[in-house]
Amino acid sequence: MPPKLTAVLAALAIEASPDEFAAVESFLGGSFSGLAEIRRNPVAKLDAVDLTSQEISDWLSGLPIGKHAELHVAWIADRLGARMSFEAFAANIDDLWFPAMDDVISVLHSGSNLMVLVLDHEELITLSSTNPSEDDGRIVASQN
Amino acid sequence: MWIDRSASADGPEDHVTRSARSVPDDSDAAGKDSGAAVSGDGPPHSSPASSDTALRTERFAAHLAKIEAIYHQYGVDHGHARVEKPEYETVSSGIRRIEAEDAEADRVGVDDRQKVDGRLAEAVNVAKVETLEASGGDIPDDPRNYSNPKTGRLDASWSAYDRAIAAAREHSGGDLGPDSIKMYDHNPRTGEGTGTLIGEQTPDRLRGWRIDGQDGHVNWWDWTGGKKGADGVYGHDWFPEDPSAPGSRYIGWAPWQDSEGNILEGN
Repeated sequence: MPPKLTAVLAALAIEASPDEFAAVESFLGGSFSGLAEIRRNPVAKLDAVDLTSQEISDWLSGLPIGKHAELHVAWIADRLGARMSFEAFAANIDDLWFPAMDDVISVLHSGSNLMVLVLDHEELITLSSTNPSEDDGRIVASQN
Repeated sequence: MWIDRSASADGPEDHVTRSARSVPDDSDAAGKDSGAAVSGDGPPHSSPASSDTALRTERFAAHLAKIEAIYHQYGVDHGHARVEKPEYETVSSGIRRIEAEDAEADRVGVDDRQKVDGRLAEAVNVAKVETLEASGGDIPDDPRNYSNPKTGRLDASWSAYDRAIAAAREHSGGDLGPDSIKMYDHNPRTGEGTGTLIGEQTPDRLRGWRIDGQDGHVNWWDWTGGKKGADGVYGHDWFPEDPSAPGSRYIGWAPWQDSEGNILEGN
C-alpha cells in the first residue's frame, strides 16, 4: 500500500474499504491466481521502469477508457479497495502506486467485458479485456 | 503535502518515444480524454532538468556510498564469513508456523532452522553477507541488474538467497522497528506455503522489502527521501532462480500482518 494512501484518498474524497477490495476479487473470479493469464495478451502494455510519474500518468490518460469511467481499484497485498474515476486514478498515480511495493489492480465494466488495468510492482502496466465465462463465472482472457 | 505532483525531468519527446515502443496495440488510445489533476495543486516543475538529474545522481551516489560503508563494516566485524548453504528463516507468527513439507536437500534441516522473531533474523542474516564487492552485488555483471540514478532504482545480484535478503534489508534501511508489519510465505486461502518470513515494512510503508520467489529477487524500497524520481530509492537484490524458494508466488499470494499477527485489511 502506498505511503499515506489513506490521507491521499481522503484528500480526493474517496472512501476505501476491504469491501471494495472484495468486489474486485469477486470480479476476477474470487482469486488473483488467474491474473497472469488475464495479462498474457493485453490490449495495451507499458514498461514503466524508466518513466517518470508524469509520463506514466500521461500514458494512462491516453488509454481507451473514458475519464469519467468508474474504476474498482484494489491494493492487493493490503486487501484494500476503492472506487474512483479513471481521471482521478490517472492524474494521481504517483500517490496511488509505488514501484517495488505495490500491485494495484483496477477493474471496470465495458459492455459485456471487464477491462483489467494492472500496475505491478515490477512497473509493468497492462490493460486487458476479459469475459466472464458463461459456464462457471470464471474470468478468461479475451482474444485480441 | 504528499499528494503534490512530482514533475518529470524528461521532455515530452522522450515519453512519446518510449510509449510508442512499449505499447503493442494502442491505436485506439489516440484522441481520448486526458485526465486532469483532481487535487489541482502542485506547481509545474520549474527547475532545469540537468540540475535535477545532477542532484539525483549525487544523492544516489551518496546512497550507494552509505550502503557500501555498511557492508564494509559488517565485513570487518564478521570476518568475511561465507554462507555455504541458504538458511530459510521460519517464524512463529500470528498464523501457525508451517514447516516446509518438501525441503530440498541443500537446505538446512527443519530442526536447524532459525526459530526467531522478525528482526532478530536481520542481524543474523546481515552478518552472513561476506562483503560488498561492488554496488552490483557479488555478481555485478548479472544481466538482470538494472540501475538508474534518474529514477532511484538500484539493483544488485547475489550468489545466494540469504545474501540477497540481507542486502535488501540494508538497502531498505536496516531495522524496521519493533512494530514493523510482515509478510509470510503462507496463502490463507489454500494453506500453501512454508511460513517463512518473506517481507517486512515499516507501519508507515516508507521502507521495506519483500521476496518475489518465482524469479528470484527481493524487492526493496525507501521512500523517506521522496517518490520515484524524486529522491526515493528502490530496487532488486537478485538471487539464483529457485522456484521452491520461499517468497510471493503471484500477485496477492500473501497478506501483510501487523506485529501481533493480525492480517491487515485496509489499514
